[in-house]
Amino acid sequence: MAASREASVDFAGVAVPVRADLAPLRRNGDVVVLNLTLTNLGEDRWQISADLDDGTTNGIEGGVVDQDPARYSVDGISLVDGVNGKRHLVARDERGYCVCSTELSGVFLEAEGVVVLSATFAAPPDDVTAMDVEVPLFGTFTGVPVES
Amino acid sequence: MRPACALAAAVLLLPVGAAEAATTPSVTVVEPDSGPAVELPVLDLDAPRLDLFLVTGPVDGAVTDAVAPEAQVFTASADVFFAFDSADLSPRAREELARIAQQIDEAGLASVRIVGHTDAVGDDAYNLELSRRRAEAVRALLAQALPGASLAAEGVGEAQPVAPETVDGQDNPEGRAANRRVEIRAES
Repeated sequence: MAASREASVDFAGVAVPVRADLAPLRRNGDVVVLNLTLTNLGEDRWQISADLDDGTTNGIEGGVVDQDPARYSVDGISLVDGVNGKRHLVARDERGYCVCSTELSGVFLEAEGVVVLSATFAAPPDDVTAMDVEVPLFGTFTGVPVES
Repeated sequence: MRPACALAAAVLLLPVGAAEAATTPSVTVVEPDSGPAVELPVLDLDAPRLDLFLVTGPVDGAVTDAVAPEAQVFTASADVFFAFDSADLSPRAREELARIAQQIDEAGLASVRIVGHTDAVGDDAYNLELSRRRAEAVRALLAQALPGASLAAEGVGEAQPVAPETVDGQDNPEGRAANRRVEIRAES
């Protein structure tokens, strides 16, 4: 793992300790792929729901909030290329679906439960070897390696 | 070795021949009921390959660029492009639009549609008109830089939000800001 961090997330008024383990970003052609492993360290469950979502549709042509095909996803995660001053958001397909883990409204992380989430982004220029990864609830993981 | 093999073959064959000679089995052949015809469908595969829009932008969120092989969509923050209640382009807007025009030109995209949006604060008719004027301001500037392109502008006011403006009954300023935008879609 490139980096790990623990945070306390709230579910139905209960604080649930969760660890986030971030793997190095993997470069594959024009994209990089992020894999994030979340582990429930507590005794109560956590419904991930929209906690990692960016809260907007981010459809390619806008759209209506209630019709967002990528609600309850991890599209709140973004990468920052500090060298070029760019933020990389989760890639979308022609339908507006994010290229990332979705349908998290139905994912309940039970005690000691583990879930692996992923998201695909535009790759930075070849000479960029590390990026900052902003994850809702968990803050910014700085200097995460970009591996080929 | 060869004699031994020949002997073994003879021994193996002998009981079979003896059994055939000793008994005449009664064989009843049951024809299966043919039943209904079986369908063995062969279906063509439908395996769509969708283009990806790769989304990037400056760290301050002024514009996001969603770039696909045959289309590009730029979402500009109205808070950066315009002053409050104004349709006059800011210096930053002019700078970003020059970059966007160059990018559209280099990609060989000739059809550009511009749509202005507002948040839901204020009068519907006023918001509709403000969004139209803002879209038209963007269209006019892009038209100067892209003389060969077909450009169309419209405003839809607050009708197409991308974010909720209230959450749990509370005002959501980030959502309102996300809804105040101008979208520029360029295609071939």
